[in-house]
Amino acid sequence: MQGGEKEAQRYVWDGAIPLQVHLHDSEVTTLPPPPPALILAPRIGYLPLLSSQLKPFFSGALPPGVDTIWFDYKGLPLKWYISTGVLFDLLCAEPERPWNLTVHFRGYPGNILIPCDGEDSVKWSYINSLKEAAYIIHGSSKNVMNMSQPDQVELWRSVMNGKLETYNRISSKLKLGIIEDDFSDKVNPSLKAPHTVNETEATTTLKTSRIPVRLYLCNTNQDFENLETVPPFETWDQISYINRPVELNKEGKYFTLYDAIKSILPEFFHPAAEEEGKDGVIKLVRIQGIEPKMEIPFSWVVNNLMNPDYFLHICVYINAGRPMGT
Amino acid sequence: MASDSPIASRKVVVHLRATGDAPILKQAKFKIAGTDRFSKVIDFLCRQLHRETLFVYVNSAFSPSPDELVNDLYDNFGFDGKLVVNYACSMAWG
Amino acid sequence: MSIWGRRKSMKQDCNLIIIMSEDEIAIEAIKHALKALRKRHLLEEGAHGPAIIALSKPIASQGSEWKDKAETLELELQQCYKAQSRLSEQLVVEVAESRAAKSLVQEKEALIPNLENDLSQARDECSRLAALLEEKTKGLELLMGENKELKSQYEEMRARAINAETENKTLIDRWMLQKMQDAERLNEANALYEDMLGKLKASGLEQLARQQIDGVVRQSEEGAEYYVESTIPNTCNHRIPAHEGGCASILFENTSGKLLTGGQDQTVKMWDTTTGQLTKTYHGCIGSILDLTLTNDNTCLIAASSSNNLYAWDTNTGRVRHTLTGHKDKVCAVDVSRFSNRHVASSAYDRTIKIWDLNKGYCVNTIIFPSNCNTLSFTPDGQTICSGHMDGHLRLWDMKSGKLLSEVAAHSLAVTSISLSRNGNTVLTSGRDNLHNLFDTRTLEVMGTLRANGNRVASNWSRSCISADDNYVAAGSVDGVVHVWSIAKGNIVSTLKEHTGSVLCCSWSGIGKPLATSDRNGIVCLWA
Repeated sequence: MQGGEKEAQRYVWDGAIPLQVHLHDSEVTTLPPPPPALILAPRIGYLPLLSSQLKPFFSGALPPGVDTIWFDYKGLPLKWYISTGVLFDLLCAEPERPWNLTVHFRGYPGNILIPCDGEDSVKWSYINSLKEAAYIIHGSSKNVMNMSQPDQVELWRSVMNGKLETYNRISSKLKLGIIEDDFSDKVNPSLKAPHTVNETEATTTLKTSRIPVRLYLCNTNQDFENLETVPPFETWDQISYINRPVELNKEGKYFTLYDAIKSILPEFFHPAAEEEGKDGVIKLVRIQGIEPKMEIPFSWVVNNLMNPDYFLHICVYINAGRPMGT
Repeated sequence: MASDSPIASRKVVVHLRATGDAPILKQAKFKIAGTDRFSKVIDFLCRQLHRETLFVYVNSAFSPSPDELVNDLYDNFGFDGKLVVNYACSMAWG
Repeated sequence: MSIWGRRKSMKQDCNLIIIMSEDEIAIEAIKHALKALRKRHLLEEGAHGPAIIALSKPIASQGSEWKDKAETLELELQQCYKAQSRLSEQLVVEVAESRAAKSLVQEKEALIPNLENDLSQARDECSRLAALLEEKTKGLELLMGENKELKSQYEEMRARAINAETENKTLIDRWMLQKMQDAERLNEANALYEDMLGKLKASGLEQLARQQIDGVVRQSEEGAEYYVESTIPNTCNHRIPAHEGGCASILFENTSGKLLTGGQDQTVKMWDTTTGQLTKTYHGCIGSILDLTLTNDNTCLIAASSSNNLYAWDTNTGRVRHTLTGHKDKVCAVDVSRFSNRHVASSAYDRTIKIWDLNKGYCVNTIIFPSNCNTLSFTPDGQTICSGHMDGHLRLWDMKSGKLLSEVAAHSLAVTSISLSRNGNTVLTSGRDNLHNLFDTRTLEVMGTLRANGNRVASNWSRSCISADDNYVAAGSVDGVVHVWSIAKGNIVSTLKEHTGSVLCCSWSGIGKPLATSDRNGIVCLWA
């Protein structure tokens, strides 16, 4: 990934979900109740970071007390350490724009959500995620742990403020570049002279590594034809959270998204399973708000669509008849 | 089908190691169902040490998300047949 | 359509279009993904972004905008306030300044008439001065003229003075010549004078020699024996423990420094007063010795004794020549006539004065008188006896007839001592009234009275004395002090303190010194 941002990465970083945030009825003390807040939430950002914008908006209507911000979507408390884009992709099978969320400043559901102390907690969570990714890639987190404090702070700032250039400059020091990816150049031949196929294959195969992937598996429990008909989630138990790295060591084979998912969820790819359902078990694969073709090279997906924590977040909807995991 | 797989039903050995000023547990190794989430380990430690908050790390490196499955953690970061979990009362590895 | 379905169709496609390479498929998929991303962008941030930004602006930032505005306005207001305060301060300063300036102007205005006045005065003065100047210039011109005149006069005078000087010089020359001549003449006169002076000196020497011879002759002519000068005694040369039990009588040899003392121990001792050595002792007397006397030639010593007798020693041999008996009581006074050297007068407490003849060795006359006689003395001519009595009277007796010649009340109490001057014209009496009187023996008139503080007469037989040159009187006192008076001046010239007991007797040497004193303890002091 020599320097410059690519178009897809640009979209990932600029991506923002329009939110319509309502203050929960129980916390409204004014008449009339405050209007909902309209706000753009960066996809790679996290919900608590919106606090600085929402708090002044709603503070007038709040009852006295200590503020601890949290959100719910149709009654489901939202995990703050999952980036906003992933939450949206995951919880809105059919995208809802603007996305109607409810904000709370009181009554933190400590039994469901781990406590959040604002920006510091989010940063801590992000850095830990980064360390985990580094551990997966290199087998140790040293590169991240040895990062200087100013660098760490600047890295976090770049994520928080969507500064892709800064992020690229600092993150390149971490040497977490995973795989060579020549497809970008092929898509945009004007930028760079096209490589020969041999070269491409040689470089692609050179790096053998594990790609950190977080896969969110939504078992819809029931058959559904239309995404709009998917009922809202009532509990997080309906969503499996699978962290399995994808081994990119397939002897120079053209490795696709399909291959990657198959390596993570082999159970859905049994020949038997394949034949079982007419429509198959996997209903939807969504990354960064898009549903890419399964033939898309996985290397391109990783390099262009991963989150700043070096994890590739994939949302998968299945219809397996009964919940997975637990 | 998936529930029948041996991975789903296996138990994982978790080796708990105190770091910094955290008290040492009498029993350091526990077995836990691989399908449990990491939050269960955290809750267990909090209960054992009677503390509200703890910093829990894997391999003295990072704190995984509490949603992660113990199975996944073991597969990704375990070795020698066990998952090393460090715990501390204060932040140990930024 | 499900993924699965698509996958299947894709597979079918693959089957159908075998030639489609994997690369192409991949690129196709990526392009699809990018398209999806673009679409997503259009649907999400692209579609809602501007609206939300537009909406949120008034909501989110309007407050802050207003706040900013309010802040800037407040800032402006503050600046305005500051500016105002600054201006008002300035105003205050300027008002003060203008006030000060105004007062200054007023002062100046007040000053102007003064100055105008001054100016006019100055102008007047100026015109006056100009007039004065003119006058002065005129005066100056006049003076210059005068000065010129005077200068010419001065020149003239100078010429004259020069003339006079030359004249003067010639005159001085002439005068000097004259003076030289005068000096020559004066020298001649001096030589003459010296000549004459030499002659005069020669004659003067002769005269001086004659005068000196005259002086020698005259001094030897005038009574040599009286020419002994007594010194005022003030130091004690010797302190001699002479007699045990007291020494009541002391006497110098005539014209010698030898001292005779008589005491309670019944002896008479002779002392060399220069050395204080005992030279001789006279024994043979029974009873204490109250009085002593010596013939003029120093050959016979007579002592009055308490044993009613008188003893006469040959001074050379030291043997008793006579024992004069006849008194009925203790003999208190004795004297021998210096004129005859053979008549002795004595008085005793039997109210008698007896006259003895040494040649005969017995009493030739007895004078009886009611008042006891304490002391007696022959006059130098040997014809008259002076006696001092218990009744305080001084009496004069004719030695031959034993008749009372005259008497005077010399003292209010008993007379203790009679002492005649060498020429016999003055008699010193001491009395128990502690006075020492001087009488003229011819008229019996008091010539003087001598007294001193603390001078108290010790006994009925205390002896005072007159110095050989008749200038001083010495008298002892009960307290041991001896006073010396000057007769001429009547004052005390010396106070001698050496005795510890009552001083009984004083005796002055005939050769001027020493003065001898004795006391009740038997001590004899020699004073010079």
